[in-house]
Amino acid sequence: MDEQEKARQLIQASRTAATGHIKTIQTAPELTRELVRREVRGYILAKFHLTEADCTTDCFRELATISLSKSMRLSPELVKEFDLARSCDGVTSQTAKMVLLFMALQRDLDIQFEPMSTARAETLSDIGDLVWAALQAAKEPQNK
Amino acid sequence: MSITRAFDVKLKVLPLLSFCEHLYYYEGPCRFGSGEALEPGYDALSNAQKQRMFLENLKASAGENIEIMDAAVIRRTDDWDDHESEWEAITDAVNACDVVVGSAAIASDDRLVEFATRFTKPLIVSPDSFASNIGVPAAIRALTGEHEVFSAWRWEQMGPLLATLRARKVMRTTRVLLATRFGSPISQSSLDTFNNYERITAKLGVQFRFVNIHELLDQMSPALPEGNHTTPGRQTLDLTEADMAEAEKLADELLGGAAYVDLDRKYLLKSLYAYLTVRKHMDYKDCCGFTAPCPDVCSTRRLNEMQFTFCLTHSLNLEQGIPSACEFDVNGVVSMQALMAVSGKCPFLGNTEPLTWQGDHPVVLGGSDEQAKILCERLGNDRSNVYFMQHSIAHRRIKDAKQDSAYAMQHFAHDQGFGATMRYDFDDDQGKTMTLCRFSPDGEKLMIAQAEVISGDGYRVPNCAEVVYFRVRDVDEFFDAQTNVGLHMVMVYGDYKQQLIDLSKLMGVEPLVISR
Repeated sequence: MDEQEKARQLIQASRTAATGHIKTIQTAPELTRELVRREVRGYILAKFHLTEADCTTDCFRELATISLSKSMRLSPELVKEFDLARSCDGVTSQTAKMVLLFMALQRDLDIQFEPMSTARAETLSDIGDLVWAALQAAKEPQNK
Repeated sequence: MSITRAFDVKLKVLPLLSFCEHLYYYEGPCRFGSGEALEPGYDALSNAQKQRMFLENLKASAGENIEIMDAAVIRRTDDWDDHESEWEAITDAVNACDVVVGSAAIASDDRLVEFATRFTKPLIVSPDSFASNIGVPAAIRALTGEHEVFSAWRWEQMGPLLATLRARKVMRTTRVLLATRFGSPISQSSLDTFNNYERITAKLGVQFRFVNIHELLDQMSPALPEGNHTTPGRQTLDLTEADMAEAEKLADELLGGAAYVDLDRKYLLKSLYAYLTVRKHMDYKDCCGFTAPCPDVCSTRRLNEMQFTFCLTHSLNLEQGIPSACEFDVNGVVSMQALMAVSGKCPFLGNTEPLTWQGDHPVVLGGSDEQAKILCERLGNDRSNVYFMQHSIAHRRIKDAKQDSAYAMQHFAHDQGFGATMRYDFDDDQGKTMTLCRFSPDGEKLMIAQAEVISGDGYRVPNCAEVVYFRVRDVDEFFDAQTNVGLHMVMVYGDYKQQLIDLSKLMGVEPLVISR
């Protein structure tokens, strides 16, 4: 199997896994904060093409860097050092990766985050809590 | 009413972020990216992340006494909907700050230029304002009128820049209490002091307050029912019973903690009465610096009559971070304040001259054989480029601004034994780097020099005898530079050359730099 085919299969597997985590949240007979945290964690790892073995930290930013380092085949230290290429709006690859993750969560779960709350999220658990809060808010009559 | 020390002055920094949010999916010459990065909603999330990163970097760069305020944000969309309410919302915060650090990017950076047209606060364009940190300052500098703008391309520049702006704020909030006998600008012994206060205020922002020396002397005792001789019938800041008790307490502390005492307690108390009276005046007039004209007052014979000198007032002020100089040396006071502002340390000041020799004896006031021997031993065969600084306003915080060093209490007057002075042994500081400075009498130049301590002298000798000997790079170069600024140099330990250069340039003062 050539490298491209391997990559294609990896991406497909990640998508499938991510979709599975979303479905678990959407179909859970009784949604709890713990369940949301667990499934969101799985979703992020799938989206970032990370395994539990890659998770040497619970820090969202660090995991974004580890994910970039895996895909770029550079060490996380080098990714940090060279992640200076910016678009005209001054966003680094690490930041763009984190923002796209929040965009995906909003889209897949049909929820809305308050932007600054996403910036304050430090850990995967924090993001799980954000999703939990957004799901609760979506249930409120005024948000329907 | 209060004394605000240089160490206590905070620079209030307002982070200002200018953002643009795209409302539609499109790409083109000013908008890159792909997929969801081009969708509505992406910018809001991305801007939030940028805001967090910006504030983290700014806070990490801010040193001591830099207060980062809550961020102000102005927003627009690609409808170019520039609402006046955005500016109104940040006006109070801008008015409350000392400096604004602005972050912006393409499609939002023009608002930093507009900021400069609306407000007078200095603006620093931040390193994360990719490319805008070049265009924005260029645009602002081309505007009509005076606009102060700085720019940084890496965060390592931000800390020193903020520290320099804080030091300038220290200077601009300095008020010096001047006790005068004759015409206010010049005393009989400091001809090289500032010669035009109005010009110094305009240049450095330092303000001056005055008190008549005879009125001040009259107040160094409990009030008379009929008022003092110089101000009959007036209520003045004379010493109270509580002040007298405070003097007793201070005397106990000073005598009890000294490693060596050659001073009668009754004379210490008289010097402490002077100190407490001066401090009441400084507090009353919101001043954070002081000087009095020693020779002008000396010749009134009132110091002899009242049996004190101002030496201890200066020492006690200095060790608390309050600039205080002998001989009505007003630019000595202001030079101290500059050095305190950049170093956070407590300075020493003295007559500063090239050392000359008579055989193996340095020619200094009150030099001892024992100290001459130490000096010669430490110099070895090389007696070149040696300078000395001499006055009796040493104190306990020269080596460490936060902790007392060993000290002695010595009398000043040879015959009568009055005048309390504090002594510090510079012998222990051999090899330490010193930074010295002094403003020129017109305030246009600041001499900045480095030197290395050799030894001390005059520790156990009355009068203005306390000495620190030090080596400079080139004695002639140092001397020539000094003839532009004057006799009293101010020193602290450590290397603060660059910080003083930066402060000079920010104030429009020419730095005269002598490196080691």
